[in-house]
Amino acid sequence: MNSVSFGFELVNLYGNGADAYFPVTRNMVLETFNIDAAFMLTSAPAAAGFAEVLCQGKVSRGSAPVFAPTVQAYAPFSSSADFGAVSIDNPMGLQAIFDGGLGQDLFYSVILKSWVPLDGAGSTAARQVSGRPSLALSAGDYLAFHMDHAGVGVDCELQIVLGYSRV
Amino acid sequence: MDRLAAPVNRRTFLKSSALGFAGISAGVLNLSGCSDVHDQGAQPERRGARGTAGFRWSVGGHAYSPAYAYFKAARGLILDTVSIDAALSASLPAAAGSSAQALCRAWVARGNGSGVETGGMPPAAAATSDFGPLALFNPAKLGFAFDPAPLQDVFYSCPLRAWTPAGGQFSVAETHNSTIPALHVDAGDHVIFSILLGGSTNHVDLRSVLEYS
Repeated sequence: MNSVSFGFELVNLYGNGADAYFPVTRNMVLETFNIDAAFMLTSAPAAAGFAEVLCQGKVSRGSAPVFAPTVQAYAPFSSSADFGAVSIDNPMGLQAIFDGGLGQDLFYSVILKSWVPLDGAGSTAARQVSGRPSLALSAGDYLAFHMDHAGVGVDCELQIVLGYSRV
Repeated sequence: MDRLAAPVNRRTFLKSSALGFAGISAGVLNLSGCSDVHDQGAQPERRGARGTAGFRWSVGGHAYSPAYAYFKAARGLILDTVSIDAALSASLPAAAGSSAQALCRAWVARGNGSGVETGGMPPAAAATSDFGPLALFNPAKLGFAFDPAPLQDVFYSCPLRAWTPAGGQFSVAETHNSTIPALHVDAGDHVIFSILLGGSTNHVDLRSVLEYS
């Protein structure tokens, strides 16, 4: 197996987001990934509040990914034809947010959440995720990684290690 | 802080394993190893048997320059699995709130020409040819930092990040990372670890266990 890594940091996330992406230059199997995501304050907050960052990784087949032209820079994905639509049973009328379908070739999805008190104590959030997607990739495909944020402003970093076999 | 004052004992370093100590550019390093894979008595060598080796390394300060620990593979092997515990803590009380962070990485430097054995700096990981350069979609024009391309043979990369309030509460960060790099390592290749500290004064400790066949 072979291994590559890269890091991607957004310094002043505050209700917005961005994406990093790169092409695959030869056919391969994406055997494993190991991704560390962590956010922290870089200054004391003006007011207490929540903070959250959504981190995702996906494959864009055959061409560069197209992102939503919004400040969150969402990375839309194709709905999977292998699964039906998602249904929610919500008898109490809870506030609910969800994807209407399963995203094909989405292989990494993590939400970091925290409460930020006025002095910032304990407000850091982090997660380490290992996966074995065993995804076939072709030259001309792209890998894309997304971060978007809500709440108190933070600095978030992704460190990504990919294990792959050349075909 | 006793660990920071502990002496480096190079002679205890993996004398019987396939990995040999090469050097350390900062901090304190202590290696222990290893349960090697060779036959015991008259028993035939077990196919697929593994060895394990481990070491610890800690650095403290607040500089933005990296520190390195590295060692050489004494023979060809497959680096099957890696288990690394990394922890960061503030080492001095902060006068005001501030961030503390570290980036911990490990990679294989190919070949004997790396220069580290003659006092040179460990070679940086190189851009891969299996993936193209990174591009950024950044409509909100956020401040950013990223590697310009994926780096070949890096098998561990971990950010540690914390906020240190004036009282120091919860100013720690830690992560445990188990991976299966299954990387081929030739005799003479070097395994290099780096720690890049940033922000307020802090102390980082890495505990690494390598399994190889």
